[in-house]
Amino acid sequence: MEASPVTGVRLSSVVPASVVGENKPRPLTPMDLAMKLHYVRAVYFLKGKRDFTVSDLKTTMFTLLQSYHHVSGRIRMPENDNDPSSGLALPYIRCNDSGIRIVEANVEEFTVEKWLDLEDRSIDHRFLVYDHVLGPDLFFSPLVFLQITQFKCGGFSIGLSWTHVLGDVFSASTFMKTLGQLMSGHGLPELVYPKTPEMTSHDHNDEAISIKKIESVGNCWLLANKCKMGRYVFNFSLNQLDRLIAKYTTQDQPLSEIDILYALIWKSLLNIRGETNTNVITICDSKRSTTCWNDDLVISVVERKDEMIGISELAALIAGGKREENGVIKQMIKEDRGSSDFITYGANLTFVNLDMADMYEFEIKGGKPDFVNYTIHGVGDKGVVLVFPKEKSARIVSVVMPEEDLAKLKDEVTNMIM
Amino acid sequence: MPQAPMPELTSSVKLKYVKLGYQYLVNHFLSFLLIPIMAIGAVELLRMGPEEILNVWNSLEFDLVQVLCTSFFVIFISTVYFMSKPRTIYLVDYSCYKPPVTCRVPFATFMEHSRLILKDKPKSVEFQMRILERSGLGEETCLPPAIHYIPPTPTMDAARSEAQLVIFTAMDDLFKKTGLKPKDVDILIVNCSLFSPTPSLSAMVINKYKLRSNIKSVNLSGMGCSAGLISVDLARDLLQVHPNSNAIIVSTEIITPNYYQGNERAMLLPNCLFRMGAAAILMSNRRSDRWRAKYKLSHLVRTHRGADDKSFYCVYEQEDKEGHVGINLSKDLMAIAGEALKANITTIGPLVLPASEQLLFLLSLIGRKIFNPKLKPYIPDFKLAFEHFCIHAGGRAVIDELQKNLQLSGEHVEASRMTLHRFGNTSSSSLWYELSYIESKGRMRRGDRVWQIAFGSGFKCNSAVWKCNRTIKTPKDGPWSDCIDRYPVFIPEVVKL
Repeated sequence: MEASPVTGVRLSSVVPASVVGENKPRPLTPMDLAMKLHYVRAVYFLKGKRDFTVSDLKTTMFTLLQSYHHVSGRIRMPENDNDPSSGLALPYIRCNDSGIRIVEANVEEFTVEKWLDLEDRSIDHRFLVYDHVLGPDLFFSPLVFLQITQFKCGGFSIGLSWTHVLGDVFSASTFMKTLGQLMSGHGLPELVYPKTPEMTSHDHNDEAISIKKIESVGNCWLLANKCKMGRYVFNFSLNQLDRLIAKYTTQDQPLSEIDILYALIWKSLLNIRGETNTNVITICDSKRSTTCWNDDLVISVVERKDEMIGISELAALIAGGKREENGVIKQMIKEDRGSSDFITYGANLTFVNLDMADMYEFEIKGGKPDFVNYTIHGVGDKGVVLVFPKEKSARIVSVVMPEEDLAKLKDEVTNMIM
Repeated sequence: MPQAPMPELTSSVKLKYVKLGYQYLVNHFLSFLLIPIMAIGAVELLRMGPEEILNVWNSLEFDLVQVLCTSFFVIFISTVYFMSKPRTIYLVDYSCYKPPVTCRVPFATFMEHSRLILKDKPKSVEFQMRILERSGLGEETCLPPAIHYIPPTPTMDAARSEAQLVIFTAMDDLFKKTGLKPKDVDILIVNCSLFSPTPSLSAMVINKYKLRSNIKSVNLSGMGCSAGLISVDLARDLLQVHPNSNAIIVSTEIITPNYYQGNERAMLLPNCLFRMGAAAILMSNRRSDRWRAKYKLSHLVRTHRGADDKSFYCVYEQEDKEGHVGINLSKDLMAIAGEALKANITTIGPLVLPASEQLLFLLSLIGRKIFNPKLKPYIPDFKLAFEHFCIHAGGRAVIDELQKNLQLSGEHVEASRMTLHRFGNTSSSSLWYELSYIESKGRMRRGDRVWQIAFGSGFKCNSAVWKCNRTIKTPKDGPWSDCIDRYPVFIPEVVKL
């Protein structure tokens, strides 16, 4: 699909129902800054007619934002700070109740079902989520865009674009889950703000290899890729998964499904890109906690030695050989003092486990979504692999990769599953 | 050193007592005259003794006819007096519209939207930001749903929806508060300056509430922010003519069709200040409402400066170079408002000021005319005439100007400033939000006098004087019920984003 099937686009803002932010600053932690150039994008599909309307959704969001002060705020850079008393040297969020941007749109040619039947899943993110980026006017750029698209059948999709400085995929899915709960008539949960994160005491003199330092992007927080990036969604049926586990696990070496899937993709890319480029991978996990901030992310690296080429070996390495780099990352970013920028997803081939994200727990008045598609926008050239939670019939693995690698990857993976 | 301030303090205290003494003397002059006369009379009577009094009485030779004629004459004069006295007009109750949270427009959001809509004209954006920072508006003012879009979508349907929303909500609340049945409404006056569809808004109200077919309905449009008091004046005149009637006044301004979409600087100001609001007021001349009415209307003075060209053109609706319609506010607005106020005060002063102030004013006038034209004109102290002031919340500059001209304290203008902060400039209904603020603060006592001043395009200055009929308990509902405890707030000179 080349031309956009979306019509009737209208932009408006939704703000917190009462004065909540009070213009207080919320500083960005080093972990937030590691994620500065990334955006979490998600599309939730709801088929068929429902007993609530778009204006009900908008009205509920006013109540929802009363709990999310920082989501309604705006970025402030320290150099054009109007309030020197805030004493912050790094960018921060001013919670000034500006709110989030809502986009209302229509797709007249398709029903939700017909749309989901189409092969190419990249259309979800091309058309049903607003192409949102922070800047060039950072002072007035919303941190979240929500696109509500109505389809021919009366069903609709909700497309969320969530700046990663607010939190990771888990925080975005919690936001949506809370919206669903409010729509269903439950009360507003209290959002817990993180305690000041503990500083790891040991000196790290090494550089973190999970993140990459790049030149400062200035006021437009988007990464410029060297090549065009594409998206693809792999569907692994339960049979295929069972076969894979059977093939690669041994008695004394029990491996989880996730590790095997990671190893599978890693091996495919080793074949495509050659060994020198793909020796290190980054793995992103989440500490399960009541909060869902970037500081709850666990970023680890796995380094491959030359002899390891089999999938079982790689999977075993992933299972046992992870090295957590959170402390090193924080140190590196603190020492930089904001002079350059960093990327995490795509600095190396990055794997993200979305099991925590409970995306299918989103529910409005008993109705669950028919499909949920998460991805990351603003990914580095090495690519990102997202493994979705297991459903009744399959597990989805979504990849964001340079287009030339993507074509070859499809063939490689198909071969490997045979 | 403590010696120096002491004489100043004692002298200012002495001055205060002198002033008080003077006021008591002049205001109660007649009683002061009467007391010595009565004393002399009483002394004379006592001196004369009862027999002499009887002799004087008999010598007057009253006979029956003379007595009857005199008493008929007295009764005739008193009947004529009571019949020609204007009916007392009561304000039974009123209700102000409180917009839903979905209409809230925080400061930062308004600036952001303006910036996005005017993105090709950075100078206009800067100008609008300067105005907004100094406007005195708060974070909870509201705009109608159509204006929340980027760019705004002001269709006629959206304007009608806004009108229905604000007017019907205010009227439902009024009917509930007063227990009035729709079919008992005798007079209906709706005023909305900039939105005048066909059928009129008053017809819309009659249709919704199924009012009587012989109702006297009037729809006032184009009369600006002072139209609220013009409606009260009209209601008063109608209630003089129709005995035993009540009147409902609906004052509002519909924002949706009037959002200026161009970028001419002089016309951007109303966008920054005007916000959603409405008020519904029940007035009556029925004796049975005497006990439950909140206020009695004492005076209503209307001053129109339209004969002067400068005043006429100072608030002018016109098209800009690109064809967008907006309201052009001239730079002399404050000066013209000051002159209009002076004209109004000159008329209302003699009606409300105590004799002491009027005498001082007269003396200063004579002094200026005859002896020394350079003498500063004496500004009568209106604080002696009124307990509460409701100055139309047209903008911070208006309130500042009036506070200076009338020498009012911060507490007197608090109602106006806080209404501007919480609700913005809601045009003709802002006076009612201010009155509601004073009541919500528990400051309204029986016998208190309230002065409502409204300015409007034309240029008009209208004043209404109300007298509180019964001490008003702090209302549990109303537009201020959820936020009155936070007020008064300190409003900084410039708000920084």
